[in-house]
Amino acid sequence: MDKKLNLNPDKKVVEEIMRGLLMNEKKYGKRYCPCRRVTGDAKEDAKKICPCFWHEEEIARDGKCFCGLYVK
Amino acid sequence: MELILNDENFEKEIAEAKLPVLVDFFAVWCGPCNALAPILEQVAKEMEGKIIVAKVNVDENPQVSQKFRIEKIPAVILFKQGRPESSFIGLSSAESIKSWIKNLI
Repeated sequence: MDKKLNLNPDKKVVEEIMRGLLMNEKKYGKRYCPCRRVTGDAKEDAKKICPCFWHEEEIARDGKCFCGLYVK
Repeated sequence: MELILNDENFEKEIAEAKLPVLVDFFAVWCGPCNALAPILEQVAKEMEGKIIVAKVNVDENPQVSQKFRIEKIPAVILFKQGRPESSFIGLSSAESIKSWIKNLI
């Protein structure tokens, strides 16, 4: 079963990140996190597709993912 | 005024800078980058004559971003005498950034 993710209650932050995700989808074909650099290494970059490989530990540690789209 | 750096002018500008250069690696649609930008503008104003604040758009400048192994953004690197001296990643306050810079220059 998929884990539930909570979006940041700040709509401006969410809108900005969503634009970044859509821009990356248009540019690279995948919704890469706009706060991580797409390197061209497919294996490495796959970890950056939102929600990224690190989001759970970041939310647990910092209360939000690095980019701020998801919160605890 | 912030200096705009890119793959073409980066090395020359950093090497020839008379002051330490604080480089903000950012992307247009990165939320934390946009939150940090006005803070760095404030730092640039308050530390005018002591440092130069510069920006690199990582989406448009892959070579320099790759060279400095930029993974997460915003990433800020302070260059002193042409060399990277120290760095931080993510959002920070103007006071913390100024204190960090003062310890390095």
